[in-house]
Amino acid sequence: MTVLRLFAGALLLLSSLVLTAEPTLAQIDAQISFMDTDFSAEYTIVKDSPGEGQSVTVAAMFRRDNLNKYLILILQPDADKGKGYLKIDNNLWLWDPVARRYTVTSARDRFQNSSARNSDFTRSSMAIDYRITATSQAKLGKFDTTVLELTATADAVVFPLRKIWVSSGDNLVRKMEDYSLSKQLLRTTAIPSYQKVGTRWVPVSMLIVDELRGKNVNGVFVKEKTQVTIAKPGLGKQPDLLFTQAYLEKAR
Amino acid sequence: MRAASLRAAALLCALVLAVGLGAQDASEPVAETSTVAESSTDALFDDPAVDVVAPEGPKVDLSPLFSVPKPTFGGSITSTFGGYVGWHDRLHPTRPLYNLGYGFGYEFSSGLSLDYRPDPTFHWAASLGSSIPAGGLSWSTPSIGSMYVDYTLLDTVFLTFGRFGASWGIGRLFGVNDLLSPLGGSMAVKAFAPVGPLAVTTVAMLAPGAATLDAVSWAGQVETSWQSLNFALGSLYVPKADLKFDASVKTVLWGADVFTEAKVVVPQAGITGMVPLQALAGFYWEGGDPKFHIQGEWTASALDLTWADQSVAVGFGWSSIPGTNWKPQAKVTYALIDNSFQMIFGLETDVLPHVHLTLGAPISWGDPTSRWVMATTSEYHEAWALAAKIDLSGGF
Repeated sequence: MTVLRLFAGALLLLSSLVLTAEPTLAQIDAQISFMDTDFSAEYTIVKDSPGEGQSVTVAAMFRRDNLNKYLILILQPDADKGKGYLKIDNNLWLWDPVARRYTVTSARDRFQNSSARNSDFTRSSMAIDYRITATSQAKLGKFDTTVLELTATADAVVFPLRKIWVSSGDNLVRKMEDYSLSKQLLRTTAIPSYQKVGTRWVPVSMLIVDELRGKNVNGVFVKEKTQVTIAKPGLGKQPDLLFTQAYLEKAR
Repeated sequence: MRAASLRAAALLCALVLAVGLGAQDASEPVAETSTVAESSTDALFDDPAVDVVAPEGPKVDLSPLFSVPKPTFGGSITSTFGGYVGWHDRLHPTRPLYNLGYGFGYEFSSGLSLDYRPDPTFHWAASLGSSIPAGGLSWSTPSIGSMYVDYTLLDTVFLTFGRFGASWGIGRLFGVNDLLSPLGGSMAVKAFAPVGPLAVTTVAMLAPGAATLDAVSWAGQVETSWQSLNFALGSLYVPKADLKFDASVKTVLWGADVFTEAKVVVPQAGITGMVPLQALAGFYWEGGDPKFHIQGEWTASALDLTWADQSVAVGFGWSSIPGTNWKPQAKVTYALIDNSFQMIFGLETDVLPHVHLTLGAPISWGDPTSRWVMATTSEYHEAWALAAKIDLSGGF
């Protein structure tokens, strides 16, 4: 009986811990950041604009999270082939191979005019950018999740308010809602499944719904959506040359 | 004991139930607010694919962007016809056609190019051009515009050998601080490598006509970033000329590229008459759909450290007027030292396949010897004109 009592007590303690332990933003960031290696992958971005059809962009992504750098090179469509984004610290440049010049762009700007923002491709830094203002538990489909309501700690953050659904046990963000300062919902992101790369996680795909952009189709407001699919993930070390403007300028 | 264990189990169940109910209560406002989101996203979680370990397989391949198995050749030809009508000086009070002038001209140019990238480490590029200049009747002897080889050494250093274009300096309206501008047409060797947080570029150049190694000019530039600031420091050594240094800082404010730059000239022994300091500051903003840009720059030459010689310029351009394919541009440059200015308004479009029309309205204003009047005409106060140019071009 003593064993049973101890077991019951331990179970009770464990249950309460599991049910009340909340993931920290640092833990959530750590699950999807590659601080000890480079990360590369091929991103396919399908923008679905109501009434206008779909447009597909394929891009090569290289991240060096510990130095806060990334390089994105557009592989398709042909009209944008060779365009590139280079991020170093808080600087983000867009290279136009036809005009052969850079324009300064911002983390806030839309990536290739899709519902994705340039900030979506950098390492996750919610622990730096946000503080938790409310916590609750919720069921999201088959997932038990902790819902964290976040408020930005700096003006430079793209979305001042954010709500994230974090699945229990793995601390992976399954859903995000991004809000303006006036609490207007701007976009919703769903990440139903992840793939494990090394010891970290990357979405298999994510659906971004633009809550403000869309078109009335047959009297119904249909929102613009962007599906991002991530393939060919790799962790090999990339040459330092890759994260330079000189590298971008060599693409044809 | 059995009763005690049952009580413990009941307590456990009650607590778990209570915690569970608590969680459900806490989730209510979330469920309420989450209905704002379209249900299509929530439906994705009803039966999602399971999380997986990423499969081993091919990695990202960039070689299609950096190599072409066979050499590619290109060619282009452009025929330009243009004319203007305008006043060489200010309007005469009683004779409006006095000082009216007009002109017509043409020129032809053609070029051939080669581009060969057998693999991502090697790139050979060349261009050859010939032209009939304005007023001429025969083609010039074809000359090499550029011919160079890019080579990537062990994924560590980018090397470029040959004749190629390069410019250092951040001014877009005033190119006063481009350290490499005096060395256009030189044969050069350039090496670029990232060294820690620095991007380091060195260039050795041999000007046309120079044949000995002691005539080699050297330039070096170091760039780095910190937070939102970008720093660059460059220098140029030209034998028997001045030693020049250039420093610049760039950042982004309110979405605009903001920059400042200073060039210092250190005269070598026996050489005088150079501007010891040239400063520049400006901004460039681009946005909107269609793309619109606006830019402004200020520059000053401090020959005698009085900062008397200052100029400002503003410009704008639109990739197209909405609903049309007309591209308007304008630029105004003003010299504070003599109150002269130049304004250029332009409008361009493709009017037919291969046919590009450019309309311009240049205006210069100031005293006969002022900077921007001298740049246009050497004997009048002002110049007003309307000009048109048609380019007929094609290529492969």
